[in-house]
Amino acid sequence: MAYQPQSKPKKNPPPVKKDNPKKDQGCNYCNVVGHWKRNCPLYLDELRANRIKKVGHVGASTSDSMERLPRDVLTNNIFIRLPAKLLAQMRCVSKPWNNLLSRPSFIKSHLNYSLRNNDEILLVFYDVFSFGRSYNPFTAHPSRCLNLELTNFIKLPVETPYVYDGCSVIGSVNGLICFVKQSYPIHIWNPSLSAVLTLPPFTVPAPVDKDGEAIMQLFGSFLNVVREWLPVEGDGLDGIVHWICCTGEERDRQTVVAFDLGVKTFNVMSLPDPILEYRNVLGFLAGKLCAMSRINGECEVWVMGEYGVAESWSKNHVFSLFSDIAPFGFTSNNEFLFEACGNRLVLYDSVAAKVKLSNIQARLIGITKIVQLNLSLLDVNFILLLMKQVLVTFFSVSLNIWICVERVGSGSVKAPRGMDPVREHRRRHHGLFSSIGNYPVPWSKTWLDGIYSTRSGTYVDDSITTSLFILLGQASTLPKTTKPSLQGE
Amino acid sequence: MSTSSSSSKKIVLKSADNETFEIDEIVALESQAIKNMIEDECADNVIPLGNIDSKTLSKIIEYCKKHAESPKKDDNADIDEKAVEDLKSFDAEFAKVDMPLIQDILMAANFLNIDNLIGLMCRTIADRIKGKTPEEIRKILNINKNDLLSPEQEAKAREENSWAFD
Repeated sequence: MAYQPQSKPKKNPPPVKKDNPKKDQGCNYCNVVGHWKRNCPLYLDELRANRIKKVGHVGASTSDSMERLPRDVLTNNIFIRLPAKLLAQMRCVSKPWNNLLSRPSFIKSHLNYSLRNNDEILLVFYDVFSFGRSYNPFTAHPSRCLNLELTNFIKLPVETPYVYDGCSVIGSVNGLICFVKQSYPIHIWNPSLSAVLTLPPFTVPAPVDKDGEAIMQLFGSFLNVVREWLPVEGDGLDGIVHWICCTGEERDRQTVVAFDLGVKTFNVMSLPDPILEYRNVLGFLAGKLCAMSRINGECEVWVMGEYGVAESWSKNHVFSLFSDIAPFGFTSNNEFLFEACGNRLVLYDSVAAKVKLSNIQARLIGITKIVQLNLSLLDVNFILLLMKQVLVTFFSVSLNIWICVERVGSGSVKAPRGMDPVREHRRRHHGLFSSIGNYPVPWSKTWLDGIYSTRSGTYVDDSITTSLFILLGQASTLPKTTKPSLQGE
Repeated sequence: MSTSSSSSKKIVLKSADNETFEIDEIVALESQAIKNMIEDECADNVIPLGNIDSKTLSKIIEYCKKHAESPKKDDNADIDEKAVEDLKSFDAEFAKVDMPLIQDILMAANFLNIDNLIGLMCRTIADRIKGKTPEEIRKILNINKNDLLSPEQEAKAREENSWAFD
């Protein structure tokens, strides 16, 4: 939060004027009658002199310590700007700092600040990657200076139960990265803490026969369904997840599917006609849903002026200055990310109308996945307890694709000392998946918040199971203290 | 609009040790707090800054002058790369002062609400303690000895945050 001294309410009201000051009592400093110590000229002069002496004595004064900075200045203006790793080191510096820097309220505001202000970092993953090998699984670049490659700024997870091999990234939000190891299980990784949380495995439910009335037909290759990953944010769009599905007999038409996590309903919105049959990516531009599409070698960006109104799609940008262009997505700084100029990654700043051409290879082998990263102090082991988060799982069973929207960690549970949040989660998880067979699920009684089934005749791979991980509503939904608060909604 | 017009309005600041500084309004506008005062039309007389001494204040004015003269990012999409570089090297040079003065500047910048300067000072502090051990950080920042963690507490804190230590 920006520090605004003028808007702060006065904490200390001016002292009440004494009715009968003893006129005959002299100044406590010089004993002269007629003024008080606080307006004694001698005393004030000495104070000033001391102040100057102290300041003039730069470098050697022992009283000059960080402790003289007011606490709110320290937290709101200094600590909040420091990188997570440094803050963790500073927890070991002194008692007050340890307390200050471990508070959930501080972790939350630090995260919010870095989301808004910090130079964001783009991590480029080529195809599947592995940890625990000699090479880095990704390259890291600050978005302001793409050609700079950051090395060693992230510590890879070390204490891992097994080598993470053949992993692919699903996405990143709030400084956490979600990846899956060979389509299963799901991992949540905080690179700034080099901590990894493995979500418990789930049992695939038996297929359920369901009459077709409530079932919406969502055809399409499964990989297309999960290709898009978006953090849940935007003006008035909090808590709605969007992704692109392929529809139509030939699976050649795309549509936007939105799931409102609050009211637990699915919504389908059409894309503008001209881009229906092309490769699209979704994103948000100044809080508005937008799509980037590659049309005959050009790239178009469309913006949905009024949310949910298909007629309000309008063409916002056309990039024709590049010969061969393919969209990647949008960054949270209103930048478009695409591939152009022969396999090079390009950022376009839509506010400054400036193109940043990089030397980063857009493709190497397989699918390139680019995630935006903000470094945060969130401890992955406790996000299940501290944050309201939602796990959206897509998986296919026989001929059905299931989209399962589930709430993990209610934000109301506090782990007793020694309790393993993961085990606790696993217990619930099993409960969850055993209840799928009883579809439709009574929402209020289970952890399952929404489930959706689709049918289609063909799939790329029946066994593909993957997940979409979303932390809801940014960090603003974090409880203020570690004390459990009963779930709001 | 010219930034260094001689006819521009002047603002007078008075430091804690009663030294007065006359600066162009455009320079003073770098401070959000003074900007608000000007907008509220209560900056006609001398602005007393009772908690900032003249040494710190002159440093801050030096910073504001330089930054007020430099082209603003929002004004012009294609800013001169050289101007950006120039400002960067100015900032780097500006920050080469002792830790107590950095803290004085930081406090004053915080009071005057000069966001860039707060950022610069914080980055400077961060740079100085980067890669340092907690002992060194304590020395650099002069942490009060009464606030130190006990050996057990420190060991625990280090273990909990072991990921941050290489």
